[in-house]
Amino acid sequence: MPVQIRYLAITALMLGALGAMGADYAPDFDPDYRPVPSSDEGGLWYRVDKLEADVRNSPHRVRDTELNDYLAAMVCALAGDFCSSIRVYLIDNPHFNASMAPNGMMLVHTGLLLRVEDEAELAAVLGHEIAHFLRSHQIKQWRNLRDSAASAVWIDVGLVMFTGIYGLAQMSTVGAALSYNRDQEREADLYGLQLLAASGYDPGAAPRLWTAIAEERALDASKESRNPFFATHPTAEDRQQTLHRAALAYGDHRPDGAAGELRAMLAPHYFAFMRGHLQLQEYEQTEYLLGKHRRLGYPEGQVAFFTGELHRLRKAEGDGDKAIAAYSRALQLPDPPPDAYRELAYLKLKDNAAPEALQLFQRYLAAHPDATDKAMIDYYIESLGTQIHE
Amino acid sequence: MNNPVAVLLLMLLLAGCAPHYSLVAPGEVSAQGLTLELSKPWNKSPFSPGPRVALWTRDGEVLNQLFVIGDLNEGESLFKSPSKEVAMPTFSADMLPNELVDLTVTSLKLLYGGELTVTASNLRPQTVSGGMGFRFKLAHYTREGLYREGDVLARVDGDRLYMVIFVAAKTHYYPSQLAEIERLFETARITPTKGKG
Repeated sequence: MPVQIRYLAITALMLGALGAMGADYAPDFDPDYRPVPSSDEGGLWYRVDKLEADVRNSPHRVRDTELNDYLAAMVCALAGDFCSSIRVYLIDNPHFNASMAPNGMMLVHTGLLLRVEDEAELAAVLGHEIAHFLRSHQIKQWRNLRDSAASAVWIDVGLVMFTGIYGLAQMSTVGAALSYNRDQEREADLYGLQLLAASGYDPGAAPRLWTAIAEERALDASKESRNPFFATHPTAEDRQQTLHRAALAYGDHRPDGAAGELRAMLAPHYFAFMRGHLQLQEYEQTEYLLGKHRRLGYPEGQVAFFTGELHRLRKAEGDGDKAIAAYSRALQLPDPPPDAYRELAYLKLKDNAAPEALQLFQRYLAAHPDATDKAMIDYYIESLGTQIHE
Repeated sequence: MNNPVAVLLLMLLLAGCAPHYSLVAPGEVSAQGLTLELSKPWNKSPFSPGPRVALWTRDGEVLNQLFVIGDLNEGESLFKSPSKEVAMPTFSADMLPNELVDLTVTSLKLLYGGELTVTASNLRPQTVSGGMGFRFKLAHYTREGLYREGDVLARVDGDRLYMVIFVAAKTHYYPSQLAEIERLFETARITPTKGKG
């Protein structure tokens, strides 16, 4: 590395570390704050309150009481005095995401729950979202955009007289707004880390999560915007590095991440959440997640079944045999999903293994007598029976 | 612009560019290698989701949609991908019914942005155009929370896929059109388009 570049890199690292160590964020407002209805912020809250009414009644919410109470309790632990200002809604969406509205509405996607290894990693994301709320990021962003757009119009009026081209200054506000957004994301990361540490969670969970997300995303390059000018968020790698440096400032702090509690809470929903993820066709990411779930001790029969589903649906070289092996393994484990019998039966049918296919179809119906595809399975049982006896 | 003829020409030009729905009149209609007997009129959408798809609606695409898909060859997808980041699953002629259900469900889910949970049920055999085909039911909520149900008819013939997908709002539209769709499914005939492929 040339000396000059190395010097710049070291300076940047030092500034990052100093910034992190010096970070002591505080909320922008008091608990139970509501903006004056006639203000711009009051108007924004009014719109989002209406949106929240839709979310509250949305069929896309996961309404399981125990799971919702668990998330709400975590948010309360992280938000402290602001507990009553934040409502959490769990949304059935397999993508990795969570978001915060300016009025205290937090949305958590089921795809986030599939990715965190323990409670501490989940708390890292919840803390980040709470930080957006406590620092009033959205109204600040709106005001920034409004002011820069207004000044850009005036600048453009001046520029058009000299250049004949209108819109140059307004175009530059796009990049500035996105850069502002990335700055807010960095602030939310660091404030979130502060909340994480204050609640007794391991701050190291935040960089650990982003390491895993970067690894997962690296398996599919199309999912990360590579143009820094148009990025709304810093990259997963940037966030991991910033958070890692900042977490070090909190010292060596490694309490139990409460992986067992999270797993116990998610296990009853694992099948439904993971089925939604399979439909995304993000097979490399799914494979990465299944490896993680196997390690974390999610229901073994289900993890093996989804491994079979992954190979059956992906259809890459050798996937057929891998699917058969995974379904067969699922059926050796306690409480396999009945669908494992059916999918293995169809694969055996393709392999012209009629007796095995027949037996598996029969076992499927025995394990799942109310199957809605009974008529289709009965058709195969009858035709395979005839074929075997001929 | 103070020339009225030029204004009129410009207006006609703009009107000509606007995409518009075209009437699909009742009677025997051929589309995508399928011949269907329609008892009521439909409207063909100008926004076809794929080169092997005719998309029809009666009351608007949120309320009811009829996808007529046919002459679909090995390696082709049901729909064009709405995003370059999302690859649509593709058809292969050796697919069994369970795989064709997965193909349909995943394609619809991705067509709707990947955010919705589309479920399939009631897979059962059904004679299609004198040969062995099958059908199944669909259900999903739209992003805005409208519950929609649907029925799918499918058959692989001559290594090509033929499929009709009906999806409608559960309230009023699905039940009121079901008898018409049942008849449409029973009378659907495969009439492959020559030279395609």
